[in-house]
Amino acid sequence: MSRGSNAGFDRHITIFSPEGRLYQVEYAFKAVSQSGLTSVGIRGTDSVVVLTQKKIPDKLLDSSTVTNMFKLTPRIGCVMTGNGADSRSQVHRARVEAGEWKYKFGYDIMADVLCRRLADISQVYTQNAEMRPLGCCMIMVAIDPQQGPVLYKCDPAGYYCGFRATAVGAKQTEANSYLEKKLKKKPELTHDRTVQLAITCLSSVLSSDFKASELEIGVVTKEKPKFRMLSEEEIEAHLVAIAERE
Amino acid sequence: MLHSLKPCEQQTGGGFCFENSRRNAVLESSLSEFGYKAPSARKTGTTIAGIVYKDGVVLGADTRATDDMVVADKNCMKIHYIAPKIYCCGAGVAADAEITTQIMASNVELHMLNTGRPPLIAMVTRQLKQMLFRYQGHVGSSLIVGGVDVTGAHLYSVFPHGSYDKLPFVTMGSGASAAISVFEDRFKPNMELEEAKQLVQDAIAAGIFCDLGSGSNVDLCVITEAGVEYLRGYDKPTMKGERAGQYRYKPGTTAVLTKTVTPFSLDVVDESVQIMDTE
Repeated sequence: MSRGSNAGFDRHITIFSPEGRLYQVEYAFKAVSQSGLTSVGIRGTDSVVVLTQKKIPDKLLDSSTVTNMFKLTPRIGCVMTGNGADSRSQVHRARVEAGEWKYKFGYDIMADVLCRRLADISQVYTQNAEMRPLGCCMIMVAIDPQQGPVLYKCDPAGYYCGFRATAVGAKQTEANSYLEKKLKKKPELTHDRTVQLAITCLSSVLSSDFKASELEIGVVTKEKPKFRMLSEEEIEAHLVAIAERE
Repeated sequence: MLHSLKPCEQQTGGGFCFENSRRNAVLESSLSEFGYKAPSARKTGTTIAGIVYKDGVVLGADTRATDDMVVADKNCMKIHYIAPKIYCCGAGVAADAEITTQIMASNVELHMLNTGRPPLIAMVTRQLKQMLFRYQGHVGSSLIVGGVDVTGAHLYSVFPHGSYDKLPFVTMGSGASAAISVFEDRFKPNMELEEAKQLVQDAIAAGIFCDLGSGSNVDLCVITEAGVEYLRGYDKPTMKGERAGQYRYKPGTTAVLTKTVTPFSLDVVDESVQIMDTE
């Protein structure tokens, strides 16, 4: 194999390896799992839910200042998984793109258009030698005025796609297979059932029960299309409902 | 220079004050001293109008293009395509209106490909006004944008400097005053199609007859959820009528009273031959 031709730089910057791989992009995916957190997104019949763990490693940390859920426009929300600084950078860029769209075209950007725009930007990083890809993955949720509830994910490779349900992070493989099993029969998911399915997915994959303070849940519903986070009381109510069902 | 902004004093005895006329005459004479002419008002010449009716919008325009005081085109098209269900009437400098609408049509096409959805009229208006404002009114086109999109039927009027109005009925161009008077009198919300077409036709006809810069035929464009009906030459109010009969005088109508013949005797003075260049 022509190992010497790239002088080994194919692992250092985003150029092709002789096998046709981009090592830097693959390392970026590893960085997403580095944070140790897992996030889940599920699309119901008239709502979309994103859920992530809230780990407070340091007892002196003020937990109200720590969050991985962000509002990109009043109607589009997202959960970021991976490197915290890269996450904030991508969220900021998304907000700028959405704002410019509103200014130039006079109406709110749609979730799939915004996701495609961010994916195109991420793709540039996989081609430019001077910039590394971002080590974070965004799951975006919204109620589209024409298409209804939508769930999109865009990753460091510049690939984006719409999903019925998806998981990102340290335990994403297990979480994805759990979701596949549960959604195989294509059940009717009301808003409450969607939230509870997300919570049970995470707790079964991580084999632990959660307290309300250890979860962050963001929702958009057809009745209330504005992206909002559930309060601790609401999360507690869902946890109680799950416990009662079992 | 008499640059006074003071209101002129009334002469004793009332009546009109012609202070400013005297000032203008002095200005004209002092300008012509240096060889300059006072600027004259430039007529743009068009009547365009639009209304929102029960099922969509009806756009109307006259078809005369003028070159100062001469008719340059008796049957030009002033209703331009922007998107499958969005059309735009253009008044003002003909080239500016034409090119601006073509640029908008391109932008809308790209936007549609990017989003995969049909365009919004609000988006067209937003891009138009941002472009016109950037050129500070030097792009002399006044436009009426109307159409149907997912949110319903909308009508906007955009001015050359970039301001816009969203209204149920609008008119633009030199014949706008004539046309708007018809609308102000007879417009009702949620009219039926035939009533709406008649109203727009009458408004444009008012412009054609009462404004020198507008004339020839009336073009209409009806846009609904189902599609577009472009009615070119919907009405031709200035068409010459048919003559009812022959008005030539028969030979012999005028009686000949006297006849005198005086022959001229002409002598050939000079003869010359000039060969024509037929190459």
